[in-house]
Parts: sequence; structure tokens; C-alpha cells
Amino acid sequence: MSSTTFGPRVSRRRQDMQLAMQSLFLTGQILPVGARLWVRHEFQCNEPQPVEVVYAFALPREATLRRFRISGDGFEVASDLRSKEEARKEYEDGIAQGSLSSLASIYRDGLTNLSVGNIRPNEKVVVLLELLSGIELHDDGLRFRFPFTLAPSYHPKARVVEAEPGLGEMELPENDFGDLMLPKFAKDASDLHAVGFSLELRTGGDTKEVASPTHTIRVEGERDQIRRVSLARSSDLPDRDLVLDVRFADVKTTVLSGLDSKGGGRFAAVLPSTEFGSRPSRPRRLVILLDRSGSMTGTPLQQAKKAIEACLGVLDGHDEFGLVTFSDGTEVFRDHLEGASAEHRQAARKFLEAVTAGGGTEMFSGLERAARLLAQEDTDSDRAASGDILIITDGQVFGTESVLDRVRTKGIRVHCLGIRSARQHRFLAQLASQTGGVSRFLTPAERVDLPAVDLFASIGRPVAQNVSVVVGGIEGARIAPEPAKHVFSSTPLVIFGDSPPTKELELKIAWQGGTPAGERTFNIPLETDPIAETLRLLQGARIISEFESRLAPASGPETKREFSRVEGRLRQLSLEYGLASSQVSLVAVVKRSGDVKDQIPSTRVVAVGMPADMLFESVFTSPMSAPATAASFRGLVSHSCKFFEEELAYPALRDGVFATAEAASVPAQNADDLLMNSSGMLEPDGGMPGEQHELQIANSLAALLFFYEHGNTATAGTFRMHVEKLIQFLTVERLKKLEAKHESAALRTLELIKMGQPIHCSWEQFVTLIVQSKGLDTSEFWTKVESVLTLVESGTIFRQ
Amino acid sequence: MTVLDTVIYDIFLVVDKSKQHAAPGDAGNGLSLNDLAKKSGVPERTIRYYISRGLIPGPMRGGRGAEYTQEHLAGIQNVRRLQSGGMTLAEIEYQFAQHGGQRGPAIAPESWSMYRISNDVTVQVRDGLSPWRIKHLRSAIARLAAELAADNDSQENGDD
Repeated sequence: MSSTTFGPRVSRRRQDMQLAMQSLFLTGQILPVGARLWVRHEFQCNEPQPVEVVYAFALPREATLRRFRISGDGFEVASDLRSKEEARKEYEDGIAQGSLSSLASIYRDGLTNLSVGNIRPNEKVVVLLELLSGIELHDDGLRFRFPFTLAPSYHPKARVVEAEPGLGEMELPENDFGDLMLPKFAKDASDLHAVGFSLELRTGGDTKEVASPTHTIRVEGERDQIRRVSLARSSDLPDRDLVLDVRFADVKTTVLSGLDSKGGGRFAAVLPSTEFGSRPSRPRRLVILLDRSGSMTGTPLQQAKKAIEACLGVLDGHDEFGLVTFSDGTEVFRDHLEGASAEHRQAARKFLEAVTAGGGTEMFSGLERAARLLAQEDTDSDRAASGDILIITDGQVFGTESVLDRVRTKGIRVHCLGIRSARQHRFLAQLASQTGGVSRFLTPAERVDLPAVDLFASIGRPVAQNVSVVVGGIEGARIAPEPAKHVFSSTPLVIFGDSPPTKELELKIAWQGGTPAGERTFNIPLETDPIAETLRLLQGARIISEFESRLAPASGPETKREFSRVEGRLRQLSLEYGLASSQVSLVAVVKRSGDVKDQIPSTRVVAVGMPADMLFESVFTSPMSAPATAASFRGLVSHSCKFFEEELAYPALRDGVFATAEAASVPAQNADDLLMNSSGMLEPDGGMPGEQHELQIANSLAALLFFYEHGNTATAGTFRMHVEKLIQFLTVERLKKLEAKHESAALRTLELIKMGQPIHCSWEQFVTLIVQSKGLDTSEFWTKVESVLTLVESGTIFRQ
Repeated sequence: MTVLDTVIYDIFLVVDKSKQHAAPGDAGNGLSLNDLAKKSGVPERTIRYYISRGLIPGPMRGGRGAEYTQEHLAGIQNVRRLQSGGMTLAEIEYQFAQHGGQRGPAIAPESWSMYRISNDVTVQVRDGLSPWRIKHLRSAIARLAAELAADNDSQENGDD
């Protein structure tokens, strides 16, 4: 723990802190293929009788627990891995004997309870928990996410209540979640435990940038060395996840390998999508699925709508699209896929305008509806895939294994743009990876629309299909877990594998569908290296996490058999890798002198802060004595309103508690807004709208220059597809219809853009006029183009 | 009116906290916490949580240490029954405290919405019900509304 000032904070109310858990501090290493983390929990009993403290948290993506050490005055004991039944018995026996006992158990959705019982009055106990976690990888960087809080999410059978003013409680059905205890949710996190972090970045190369959209960070170390990222202030509140963004200096293939302590070979490889060639241009079949549940209320929904408009703007006449929204039920734009004509896009805009947020998150219904649209007879035999779904959601649902179980059998490819917490990150990453899609995740403070367009540009046209990965060099070498079958632009292929003891392995990757199709071979040297143990654990965590997602509640005899099979496999995997799972828990019992048998410690459930982006009142609306459920989510309350309104037609009853929050207005337009708005205006022919030919070309060139000004080219940038379409639209044939001097200016401008030549000038004023439909002054525009060309061609304003 | 009956919660359990520290002589044939967990199907940790919240009494102290009785078992079953009816532990805790003559952890007004389904009939529904409960009520209220509308029609026809 490097921070000397970290520790329990003084209450804002200047009262003594009587917290059962005083602090949580995250340390560990972030590698290019995952993270190995240690979380230090400090518990203290400030009561006259012993306490049992339960801390609930959610595992990040591709994560599981490895072990913990529990320490205190004169003792330090390591945990053991036991089957969940044995671990529970050992824990309970320890509690009954008056011993200090600790148990870490994983439940559905990666929800975890860390229980520490029989902490004596005035005793301080520290639990140092090790866990392995995945990261979100991009070609040029990574995003690391760790949950410091837990977002209350939708479950149709959840019960919620404001137990005390400003303190919410949520209970999940025991049939599915057993004896899981969720944390209490505090409206004001300022009096809760302190959180902090200090992490090592070991990316194996230069890092261009390290940033966090959630916390103020301090970065130490040179960019080509191991860097340390820590919280800039002494401590923070447990009311949001930690998100770290790392940009690599180079886009390159990374291979990590070594021999572990038992001599076994371990390796992991990350191949950027650029290794697989370019994006083939072929017609796309896409359904955009929009979450309009109550939790999307306000800016997220507004921006998601705008993103969808922009996404539709890059479809061309050969593409087909569908549009589905979901909350308690589903609504479709059309009951079949439509071609992306101007007329259909306009109709889609009108459909979107009428979409409002409200209701629960019945995600599977939406996915099923989207899949039905794609499953309709496809008459074009040349198409390589039946289609893709892009889901834009905050994924605020519990019981995600059921959704995954049902979607997996649908044979659809789902790409996810997730907003909000790390727990949903885990689920949506699984949803994408298990259906062959890709995923991106945002924090609530970030824009939804730009990443949506960026993600949209890469889907539908994988740069590689039917990817096969074979490892040779020794019999028994294997790839596990199974890597993605498709590679999409911007998202690398990640491969994990192991082998019996040997000196070198050969990794062969072959693919189809890219331009060109091809194969690559790597030699992987294996020498004794501590990294091998970390690779082994990360591999195990990924495999276990994937199996966990297959534990959907069983109904019929066949599914029950499958459920038992998965449970058995999880037990085997846990023992093989030495990692916990929902079937294998971690337990430790510390016998101390003076233990008093059969005392009953008072149970204390640790509170976490309501996620900073969620209104406490949007979940815990009901007063203390009124039984409340998931219906208390503002959306569901709105649902009840809808029901009564429709069925009984008493509109006056809508007011009061059934009122739905007004959607927040989108802030005034900045450059990003302009980019979004102009991107949504592209016509099916690839150009911008314009009544006369000359105006359409001027509008298109102005938009192209504006996209280019903001770092977009035909192959890079969020609006790369828009740039590509605009360039395709501005053909020599079309430009011939202009006046000769304008034709020449347009051709020279296009040439500069294609060459990647910097053009230093702002085109914002022109694009603003186009977006506002005020009409571009073509004469002024061409004058500016001419003057800029003169400067650029004379070399006056070339970028140094 | 049966519809209203389905809406109103009137189930409560009085917890006599004076029995939390019973005399030693009262014990002898009691259950261990493990036995209680097995008989009730509720894990030990959850039972301790119920005790901590005052939903069931604490153990009796016998010669062999902590012991539990049929009263504890009945108490746990009651809590489960109330939970399955849609109440949270906090609400049960509050109700027990109220009916036990003790001060509850928080006092807040109940919030009900009133629906006029006919000129002379209103139905009150507690806010924040679960989706499945709402579905159930929807069909019940719709039936009642239809029945009342039919009554009105026949009366109007009769008047004619």
C-alpha cells in the first residue's frame, strides 16, 4: 500500500465513523491481456458485541477470485478452496466455535459476498483478496474497469425499499440467488468507507496516454516503463466504478509466454485487427436494438437516438436495416428489414422521435424480436452472414445467465454498446463474445452517440471470418478458451493457450473473408518466467467466467442435467486452476484464545453509495411501509401508469407518483454534436442533401472537410465510414458538372484528403448552416476552399 | 369487495422480545442453529441476520450453549411467508415493531393511488407493486369495472 494518507475518512457530518468496513484499497497489475488484482478490505468492530460483516460486490468481466489472507493482531491465515457446501460448513462451524471466520462465495451474475464473522469489539481485521480480471481491449489501447459500487438493477421479482431515509435495500428471489445479500444503497456516500487504488501498468510497450473518465489520477514512471497509476487524492467515495484508459504508442501484436512453476507452457497473444487486412465492402443486414427502459431516461436516450440516426446515415442502398426498442415489451419500426432509402430513414427518424424511456429491461424480448427480423428469408445468396444486432443499453438487469442461455441458441451476432457499471460490463462482454460480436463500454459521463457510430462502423463487415487458431510444437498443446471466430475492425483477436513442458510452440492463425484471406504463424518461446503463472490464472478466470454464464436456472429434466454438468465442470475447473467459482468458495477460520462458543455475532451489511449517475429516488421511491418491488424503478412505475391508462382510461391518474421524469435536454451543440448531426444527414447515395446538384456537392465537400478536420479519414476515426461514403460520392463524373474552377478545387481537395495531407482550416461555420438547414453560401464556401488550397499547396500551413 | 381485500396487507407477526433471553431452565430440548437451518431451509447466516434485525428472537441459553425452539422455527416461517407476499425485511421489521408496541426504524406514510372505476366506486392501490402483482390486479380491476359497467347499462335500460 503506497498511500500513507489512505484510511478511514472523517465523516462529513463530523460524527464518529461506526463503519463495519472502513476502507477498500485496490492494488495489482494491469497487463495487455488482463489484470491481477489485490483488494484490501479493512474491517473494524466498533460495537460492544462481536459482529459478522457482509460485503457484497460484483466481479468485473472475465473475473474470479483466487485466494485471500485474513490478518489481525497476532495472526495471518490464508484461505482454502472448498466446495461451496464444505466451505459454508467450515465457516458456520467456525462461527459456532466463536472463531474468526471468513467466507467468499460467488453467486449468479458474478455477485459475491465476502463474510467475516466474529470480529470482536475494538478488533481490526484485514482481508486481502486476490482476483483475476479481464480488460476491454482495442487495437490501440485498453480500458480497465473495477467496481467500487454496485448498481441496483432490474429483476422482475426483486423487492426494493427505502429502509431508512436515504438508505435503500434490495432483495433478490432466493430460488435464483440463494442467500446472497446485496449491499445497502446509500443516497449519500460521503459517510461510507474510503476507497483508493494504486495500480501498475505493464503493457509491454510505450504508452501514449493514461487517463480516467471517473477519477482524478496520478501517473508515475516513464512512458516506456512500468507505470504506476494511483488516485490523486488521499481517498474517494464508493459511488462509482474505476475506469482507466490506456493508449498504446504503437498498434502491434503482443505475445506473452513462459513456463510456470510446474514446467507447463502458458501463452497469450493479442493480434490487432489490422493484421487481418481491410474491411470488405459488402451489403449489410443490421438491426439496431435500443433499450428504452426507465434507467435510460434523459441524455442517454437522447444521445442514443442521435447515434442511431448517424448509424443509419452510413448504410447504403444495398444495405437493409431494422429498428427495435424494448422495455417491458418491444416495439418495431417495421416488421421486416427495410432498405436504407431516404424515405425509410426519414420514417425511422419519426419512429425514433416518438420513443420515450420507461419500464423494465426485458432484454431478451428485444433480442428475440431483432433476431426474428434477421431470420426472415434472405434472398441474396451472396451475403456472407445473416446479419448483426447492435444493442445500445445500460444492461441494468439481474439474472443475466437466462438471457445468455436463450440468446446463445438463436444463432445471432450481437454487438453491445454498454453504459454504466462494471457488473453490466461482465454480462454484455459475454453477450457479445458468446454470439460472435464485439462490445464497448462507457461511463455515464461519456457521450453515447460517438462510440455508437464508431462501433457501428466496425460491425456487419468483419475483417476476418472463420478464424482458426492451431498450436503445434508438442502434443497436448491447446487453445483455451476458444477465441473469437470473427475479427472486427478496431478490436483485436485475443488467444490464450497452454502446453506440456517444451521450449517452443508454433501458433498458426488462418482466416477467411478478409482482404486478403490469409494466415500468420508465430513462434512462441517458452522459458521459466513469473508471467506464466499470471497467464495461467487469467486463462482459468476466462474459462470459469464463461462457464458461469451457462448456469441458467434449470426447468425441465434435460436442462437440469445440463445444469448439473456445468456445475460439475466448474468444480473441476476451480480445482484445476486453484480459483473460486459459484461451486467452489474460499474459506478461512482463525482460532484465537478466548473464543466464546455459540455466541451470535450481529450481522452488519456494508453499504455502498448509489452510483453517481443514478438517482436514488429512481429506484427507492416507495415509502418505508409500502411494499415495493422492482416496480419502484421509475420505469416500471411508468409501466403501471401505462397499464391503467390503456386498460381503464383514467388519464387523470397519471399524475403524482406515476409521473415519469422528463427527459433531459441535450446540451447545446459543440463540434461533436455537429459531427453527429451532419453524419446523420448522409443520403443513401453517400452525399449530403442539397436541392441542386452544385449545392449537394458543396454540402458534401464541406461535410467531408469537417470530418477530416476532426481526425477522420476513410480508414480511421469514428466517422471513417462517413468519410469513405462521401469520397465515393464525390466522383469525377459528378464533379464534372461543376464550374471548371470549382471542379478543379474539389478534385485537388479530394487528392489532399486521400493523401492524408493536413488542411488547417475550420469548416464548422459551413456545416452549422447545413445542419440548421439554413443553406450553405456556395460562393463563400468555394472562395474559402480556393484560399485554403492556395495556402496548403504553397506549403505555408503544412503541419510541422 | 374482494379486489380490495387482495390489495391490502394485514398480515403481521408480533415478536415478543422478552423471550430473547429466556431463563436457563427453559431450555433443554432445543435446536442448534444448524438444526434450525435444516428444519427451516434457511441458511445459518440468514437466520443470524434475522436475529440481528429483530425479526426473530435471539437464542435461548441452555446447558449446551445457544438453543432454538419451535417458536424460532415458526418465526422464520412467518418471515418467509411475508417475504413471499412481496414484503422486504425492512418492512417486516417495521410492522413487527409497530405491532409489538415498539418504535419502528422509520416512520413514513403509505402511498396509495385511488382509481375511480365507476361513478360510485373507487379502488385504492398501494404504490410500487411488482409487475406480476400489477398484472393480477389489472385483470381483477378490469373484471370489476366491466361488471359495474354492465350493471349501469342494465339499470339504464331498465329505466327506459
